[in-house]
Amino acid sequence: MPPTRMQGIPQALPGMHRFFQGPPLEMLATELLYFAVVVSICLIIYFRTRELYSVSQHKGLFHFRNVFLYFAAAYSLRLLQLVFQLSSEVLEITPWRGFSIVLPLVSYFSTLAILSLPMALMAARFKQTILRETIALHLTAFVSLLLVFATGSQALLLLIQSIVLLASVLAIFMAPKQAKHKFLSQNRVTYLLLAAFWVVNLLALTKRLLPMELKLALYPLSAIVFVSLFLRVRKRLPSNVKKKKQA
Amino acid sequence: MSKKRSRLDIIYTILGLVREHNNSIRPTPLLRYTNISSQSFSEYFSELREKGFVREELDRKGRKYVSLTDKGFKFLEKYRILKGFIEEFEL
Repeated sequence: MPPTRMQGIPQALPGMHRFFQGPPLEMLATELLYFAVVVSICLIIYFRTRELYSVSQHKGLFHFRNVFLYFAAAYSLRLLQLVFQLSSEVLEITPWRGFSIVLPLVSYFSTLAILSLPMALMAARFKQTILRETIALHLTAFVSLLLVFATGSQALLLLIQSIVLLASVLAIFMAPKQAKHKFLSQNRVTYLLLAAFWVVNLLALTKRLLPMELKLALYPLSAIVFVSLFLRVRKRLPSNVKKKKQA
Repeated sequence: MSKKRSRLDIIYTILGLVREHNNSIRPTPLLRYTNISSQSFSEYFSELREKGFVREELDRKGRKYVSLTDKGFKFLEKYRILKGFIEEFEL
């Protein structure tokens, strides 16, 4: 009889054998790779635009940078939540109760990230101060955190984020456009895709509604949106503009 | 017909005017050269002061003069890059 993959696994670890059966480990590797790409791009954009913001104190730029900071936090917490879910299912262990705060935090940062997208487009036209706008965003996000914390429901998280996404989509397309940009400009489509991919990604948390095959198609597409945005940001950064001039 | 100036253009004009006048200009001529309403000017000016781009100084006779801070000079240096970035991403 040919040796099976389960041979040699100590019996003292019940449920551990399922780790070696394939999908969970492959799933974890896929999630880790996706997380590494997205979060590193988000953090690079956030930190490399710091100089431009400190020079200008531009409100739109403030929200634009925050989109990536909040997405980095949301994607990190999403990975954490997935790891907890997988470990509790595969290793058959009960996760520590403190971990129940992770899902509401996903909701908090997710709401902030999605709402910051239209804010980036519109903030320069608002007369409110950055502080007031930031407080309003955080209060809205806090309500979503409380709702998810009170119910602990992943379906509610998805529902809230879908509503936030819908509101953001409307705001993104209603935001006054600049003369040289079209109604359906590259930016607006990119912002829309960032938010939409994130909400679809949340399906992975809700009892794995997202099949592995779909994930494999979705993750590269989502990563491409982040990479293309990063390349556009990089091209416009002071260090690159100076290099071009020197050349 | 000339195009309406953006908010960023007006800020650049105000800071540029201060620099052109040897980094010392009185508020009234600055308002006149900027070519915007006095209400808009006071809004822009308050914002620039709050953000630390300009400061007001008094001369020996107690007259107010406006001058640029280091941050104001940096803004002028990076203006084109900043404008390109903001236009590119519709901020």
